[in-house]
Amino acid sequence: MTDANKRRPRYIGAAVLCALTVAIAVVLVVVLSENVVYFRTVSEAVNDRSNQGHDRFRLAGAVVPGSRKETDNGVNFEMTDGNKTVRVFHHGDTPALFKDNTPVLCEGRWGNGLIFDSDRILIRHGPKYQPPKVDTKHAPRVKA
Amino acid sequence: MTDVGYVIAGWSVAGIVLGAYTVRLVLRIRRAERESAPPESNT
Amino acid sequence: MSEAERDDAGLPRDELLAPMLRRVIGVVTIVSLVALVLFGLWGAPTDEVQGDAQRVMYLHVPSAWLAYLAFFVTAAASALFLWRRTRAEVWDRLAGASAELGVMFTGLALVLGSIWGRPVWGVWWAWDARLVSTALLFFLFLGYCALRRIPAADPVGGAKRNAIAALIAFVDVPIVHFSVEWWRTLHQQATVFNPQLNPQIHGVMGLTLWLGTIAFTLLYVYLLDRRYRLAVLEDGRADRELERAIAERISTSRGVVA
Repeated sequence: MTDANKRRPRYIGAAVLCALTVAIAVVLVVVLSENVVYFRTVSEAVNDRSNQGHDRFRLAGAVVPGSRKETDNGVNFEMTDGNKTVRVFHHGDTPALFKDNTPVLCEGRWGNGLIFDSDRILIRHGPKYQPPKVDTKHAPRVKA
Repeated sequence: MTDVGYVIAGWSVAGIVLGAYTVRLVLRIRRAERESAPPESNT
Repeated sequence: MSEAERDDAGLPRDELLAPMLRRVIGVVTIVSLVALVLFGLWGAPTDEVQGDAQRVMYLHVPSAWLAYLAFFVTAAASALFLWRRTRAEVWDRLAGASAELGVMFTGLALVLGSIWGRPVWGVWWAWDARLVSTALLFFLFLGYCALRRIPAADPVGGAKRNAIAALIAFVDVPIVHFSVEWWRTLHQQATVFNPQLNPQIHGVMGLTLWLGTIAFTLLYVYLLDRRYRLAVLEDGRADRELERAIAERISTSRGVVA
């Protein structure tokens, strides 16, 4: 065996790996460039309303308590980030954890004015975990 | 699927993956030990 | 690769853990895994917001941490191999063994995260920075494991090549961890290792999470020892086959010459 023959497999392996790495990197850059700003808050979206047109984006906020109304093909509710509030018309199913005050992401685009047309709701949740608080003082007494 | 269904699915997947990997590893070691012992030491 | 020291049965002596210690770790691992099942499925209280679905966390989070740990061991062992003064075959084998376990734990973290995400987020997958960087980590080290199988004419040169690849792949580990701080993600921020270092988890739930981490770490140590052993045995077998082939070649060529 000559020296060149011995070395060839390493070059093939390295070339395949480089090609794979470049391919993965390209896919990632494309995917991440669209998703680095994974969502916009309600305030950001409202302030940028005029530049937004009808592009798809994700809107982040919390469900305003008592604002949810069932519609024929989904739900209509208000969403706030504490500063600004928009009304969302959602077409489609709602996740099980969709309740008052739940932090949500809505995927969709601006409709007329400050109405957001959503077709997908994602639930966000915080990093906090705890059991439900039981009111021990006022717990119902079990009669013997 | 209910919440409990997802929990069962998740814990089962973890059990199967970790269990299968461990068992396969132990079996591969046994085979390698059998094959790498020199023939004269086999009884 | 020099002739390894062999025991009475003709097997190489090279092992990470003494057999006694390995058995003790094996037993403690099983006990802690049983305890984890009991606490994770029954002992820990149900989460206020997420309900029972949150119980997937007791496996998802330890899987992700063990992936970090396994890849850290791979990177550290690779660095020790690259450094001339500490270069030894043990570091190369350890790096390979740990990477394989890391790939398994990363895969587990991804699958379990998906199963947890469906009931809680409403989707199996999201193209956010945390999930994408974790998937990248999985493929980077899967590629590293594949690279290790490509034989090199010069074993030390090949091992150096692998070590460099491991160090490059490891760059993604801090990116995964801090992705939830650096970018906006659907994935929540860290509960335990948050920037404030103030765990946001209730007592028994936190305890169960630590139990899961300990159980998975012990399992990792046990499997690392076993995977290392397999690497030693397989290298020994390959060496022997090579020696046998060379011996055969020499004897036949001598025969031809004679």
